[in-house]
Amino acid sequence: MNKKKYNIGLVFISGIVLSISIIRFFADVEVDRSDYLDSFIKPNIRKQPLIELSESPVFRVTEEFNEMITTTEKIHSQLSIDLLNESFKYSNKIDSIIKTFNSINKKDSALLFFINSMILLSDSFFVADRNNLPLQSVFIIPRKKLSNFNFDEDTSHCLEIVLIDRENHPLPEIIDLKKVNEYLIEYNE
Amino acid sequence: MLLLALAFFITPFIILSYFNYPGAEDYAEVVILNEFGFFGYVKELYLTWDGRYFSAILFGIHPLKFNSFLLYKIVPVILFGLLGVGIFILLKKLEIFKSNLTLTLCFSFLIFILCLFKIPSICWTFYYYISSTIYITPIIGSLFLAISIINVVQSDVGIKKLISLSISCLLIYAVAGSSELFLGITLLIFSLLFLFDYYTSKGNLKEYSLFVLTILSAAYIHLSAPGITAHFDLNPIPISFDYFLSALKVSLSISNKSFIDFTTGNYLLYGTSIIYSLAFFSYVNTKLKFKISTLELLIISITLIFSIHLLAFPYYWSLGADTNQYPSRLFSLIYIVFIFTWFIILHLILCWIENNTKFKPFSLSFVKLSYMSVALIIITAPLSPVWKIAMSDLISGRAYAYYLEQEERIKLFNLTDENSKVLVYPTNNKPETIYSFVDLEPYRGSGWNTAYEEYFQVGEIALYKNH
Repeated sequence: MNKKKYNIGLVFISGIVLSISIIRFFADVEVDRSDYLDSFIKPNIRKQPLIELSESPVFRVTEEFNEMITTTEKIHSQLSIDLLNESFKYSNKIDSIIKTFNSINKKDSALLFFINSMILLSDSFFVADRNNLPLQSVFIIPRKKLSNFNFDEDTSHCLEIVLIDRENHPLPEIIDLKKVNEYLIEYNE
Repeated sequence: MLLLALAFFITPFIILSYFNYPGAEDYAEVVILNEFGFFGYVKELYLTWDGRYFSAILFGIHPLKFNSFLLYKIVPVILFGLLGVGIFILLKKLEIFKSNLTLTLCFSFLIFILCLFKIPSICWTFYYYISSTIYITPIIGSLFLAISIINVVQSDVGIKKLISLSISCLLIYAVAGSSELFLGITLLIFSLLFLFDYYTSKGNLKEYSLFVLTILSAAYIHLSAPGITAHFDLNPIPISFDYFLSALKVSLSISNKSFIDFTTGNYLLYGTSIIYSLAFFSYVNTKLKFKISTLELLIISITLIFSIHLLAFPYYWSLGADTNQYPSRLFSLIYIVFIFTWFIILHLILCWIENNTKFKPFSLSFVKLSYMSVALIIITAPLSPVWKIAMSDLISGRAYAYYLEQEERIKLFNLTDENSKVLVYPTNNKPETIYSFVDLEPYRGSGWNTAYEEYFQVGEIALYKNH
């Protein structure tokens, strides 16, 4: 093979590479976001932990929610009693709690377990950033400190948060960050 | 002696492959795969999940798609084999041990052992299919890519060179389509090699241009995936300089820690590497001409050192810099890249010593050193934390008990029809080497449980609350 033929071969391969890019450029790959959410939340197979947290039927149906708490109690008693004790010990120290729960491998299960345990056993508020993966954006706010908690600063990276108050709102309520302060004012009144 | 040493080290991992079973995520993906079919599934992943199109293709040929648990058990063996064979062929291609197959095998074996020696997550890197396709594929792909690139550089103009070029381009698409990290590394390395060739006129500028073009094309396909946008919509990254700095700081500190861990621990292995390298290069410099220049090696090693320190960055950037989580799968990948880098650095140091001091490391007797090294490998292998855990899984009977538990579960699921409910015990035996910890869950509505139910066509699967 002479150099000229080799160069033609080289151009041919480059042509294929370029064609692949061009095909991708013109391909119709727009995805309908509503389809996207439907396809993942309804089968609930491929996990998206925080979508599950706020949108799954587990949290929407009271009976199931209660059952889940019961189950969580069992898990708690079997596996993690020390962990939970540790959490309450430091319940006003956010960092410690986050650190404690990072020690669990399965973070999504840990989060669900944690939420339920907190709701079940304490009167604390629990705030989680549902738009980010769990644990690094989990805040535990003791009730007495709620009025001093600065949502704008401390949760500034969250777009939406889940605010859970065991006494007044047995089911978690999804609240837009912008509405949080309004909610707090209303609560404090 | 070499075969004995190899068998000694690798046998526990091969036996454990037989006790390996899929995790919940495997079932989940196969359920979706069965629903959409191969092409529909790959497209669906690309549209809604991420841009790792090559991993999506590998998901699409998941062993469970063929209802074969045996095939699932064989996959890790194939991966171990491909890693070892890739290292061996690469060394052979470099023609360093042209007339000495034993020495090539010895050195390949050393690198292979080091790759597994302290790997942070061997299960998620080799045994758990859905994860291994992302984390070990780009490593193995890169080895074969390097082999193919050497073919291109060493071949004369002709059809053989064109075929090697085509294979290289396909491998670039595969490596870049498996992991964003490797996309970045290949882009960086080939860009530097292109610039190097441009300034030194070594004569492969056209080929390097084609490689850079191919990586850019792969990068475009990978990074323009609509799934990535959807992911970012769901997991928005705060665009703030403080957050950026914080993530950078955490990733650098963790990468440095893994670097220090490696260089300060396992003195025996460390010593073995040095002695082996002396043997290696004494042969190279006395018998053959080394084909890659020091400058090229310098470029590659600087790129890799730079990459290693920043490989963890995207993880912390996208998941939050405050986390104390240890991304073990990611560090498995970084660890293997580091092993390869280590040998390149060692070579550069030895070259410098040879040229600038009276000590001539390359003139030592390689035969004596080789035998010493093989003996040291046999002594060193049991010190490997990963090897010790694998042996403990086997000797304690944990792996076998896990195998029996899983067999019993599968038998029960197969006996249950789609209108019935089945209760099973939670997994009691969890061999660390092969158990992925992605399993049936104790609460209803769990996505993982749904995946099992769909795959085995069972009405409902639940766990006994008290075991």
